[in-house]
Amino acid sequence: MYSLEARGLTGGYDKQEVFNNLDLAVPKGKFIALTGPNGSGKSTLLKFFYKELIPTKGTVHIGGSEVSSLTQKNLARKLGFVPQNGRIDYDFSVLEAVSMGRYAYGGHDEEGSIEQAMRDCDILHLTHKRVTELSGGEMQRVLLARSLCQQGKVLLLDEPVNHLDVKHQRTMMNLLKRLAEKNLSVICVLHDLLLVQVYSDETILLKKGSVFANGPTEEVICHDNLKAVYNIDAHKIHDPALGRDLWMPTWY
Amino acid sequence: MRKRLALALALSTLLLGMVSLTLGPAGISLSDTLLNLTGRSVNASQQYIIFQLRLPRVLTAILCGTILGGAGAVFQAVLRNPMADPFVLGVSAGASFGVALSITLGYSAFLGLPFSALLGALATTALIFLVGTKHKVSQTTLLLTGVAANYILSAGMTLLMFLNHEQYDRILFWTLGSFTSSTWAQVLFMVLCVLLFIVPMRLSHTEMDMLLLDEGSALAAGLPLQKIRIVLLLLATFAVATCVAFFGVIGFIGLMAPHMARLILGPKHSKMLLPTCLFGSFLLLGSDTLARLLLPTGEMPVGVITSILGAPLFIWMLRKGRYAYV
Repeated sequence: MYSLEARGLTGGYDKQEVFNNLDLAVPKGKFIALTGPNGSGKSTLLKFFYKELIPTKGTVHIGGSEVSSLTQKNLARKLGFVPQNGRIDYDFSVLEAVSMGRYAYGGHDEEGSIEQAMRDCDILHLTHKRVTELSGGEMQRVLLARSLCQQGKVLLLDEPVNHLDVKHQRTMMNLLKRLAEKNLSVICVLHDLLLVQVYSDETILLKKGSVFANGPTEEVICHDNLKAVYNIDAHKIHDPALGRDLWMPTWY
Repeated sequence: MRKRLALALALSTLLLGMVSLTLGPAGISLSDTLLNLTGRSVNASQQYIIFQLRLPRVLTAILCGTILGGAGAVFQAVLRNPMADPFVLGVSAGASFGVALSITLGYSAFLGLPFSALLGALATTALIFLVGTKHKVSQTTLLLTGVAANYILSAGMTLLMFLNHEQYDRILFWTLGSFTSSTWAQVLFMVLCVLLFIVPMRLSHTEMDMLLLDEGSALAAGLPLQKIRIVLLLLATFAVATCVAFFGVIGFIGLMAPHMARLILGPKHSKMLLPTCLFGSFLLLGSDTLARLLLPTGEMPVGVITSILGAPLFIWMLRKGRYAYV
């Protein structure tokens, strides 16, 4: 069984069809990078899985269940979502913001999942701080904790480190990697090819609403694919800390 | 904090209500008012003035304030905009236009007015909803849509008054707002309206919190977004339309009351909804009392007072950029 599946997915926005008969199967319990050029459909694809968009044809599945057959609350028990540029504009406390992740359970938290999620994301010390006073890195961890306490098996993230500095990017990505190692399926939209190669087990490379390549990251991210999808050249460099080669875009 | 604030507001409103009952050309003192209220007065003229004229007025102002404050909180949550308010967005103007049109067409029986107001308000709410919940629409666009709707409806009202000289004063009443002709029938209707609106609203406090999240997060956390938005907006629109049908357009209570409650108690609706309604009652009763006091003879439309109080707050919120997305 797959964590996410799209079978003949067709659909998009009112005036713009993004996917036409897309088939995709995402394995369970891995860190999956979803990447591709702007407008290739990365964020749009995620929207079908939490029902912000509905397919005009085809189906999408999560943990084997067809998404359209699930109520919004039942769906929320299967996945968590961290939005792009996520923020909360009203000054809830961190605890109040994280607790919203328990909505699908009627607010109940017998298993202490809120505390556990806050511990996992290292934000217990921020419990009573107002979310409007948080730094970008802290805010992302709050949003992640909120998603984690939904106790789903799948975590969707839309460019979660976009506006973070290098240190906070590393903190966030390490955290996501640890979650994937705990058998959570992490599907993360990423633009940074370095992060894709360092952290993901597998990569889905999208181009204009189609899957151009899908598989182990070291096979998907290569010169030929980058040239075909981004129209850029790339060269290999060796990272001694990782002990392996990485593809770098050629900047000039 | 919440309970103490609620108690303070309830007591202040009660006190203000007592003061308001003593005001008027008949010159009934506070002690006489109390004697009448407790049934120990034999002065039939005073009894008539207090029970048939002043008490319904005080009660309708309180009930209407409760509804307008609560409706403001609903609009602000559904549209994720702390500056949303039925008046600013043109919903009240839509309701008053519906009433004016109904009068002009000669269909203005007791229940005809709320129905006409509801139709006008629903049409405006539908427009705001379609614009406000559309993907990637800025909050400024939403407010400007409301302002534009207000302009169009005001022009429509002016046209109706121009075409219908005999009903000029009657139509004018709905553009300015007044509790002058409050009746016990209206009190009962408003009580029903408060119950039908406030109870479901209070029960939806968690949903209203969730509405403040971005659309994707709210959906992924399990909120049936469109259903909740539509139900809450319909409830609030119905309640506002009833207020407008009976008492005309009264602006800014829906902006001021939630803002005050949120400043003191924070954004969580389980804490701020009841105080929002109480703030609404206090503000509207206070405004109505001022409307009766400020002119040497006669009285001001209450909508003028609420606008004088609310418009500066609106401008301050715009300038201060209290909320990053405005």
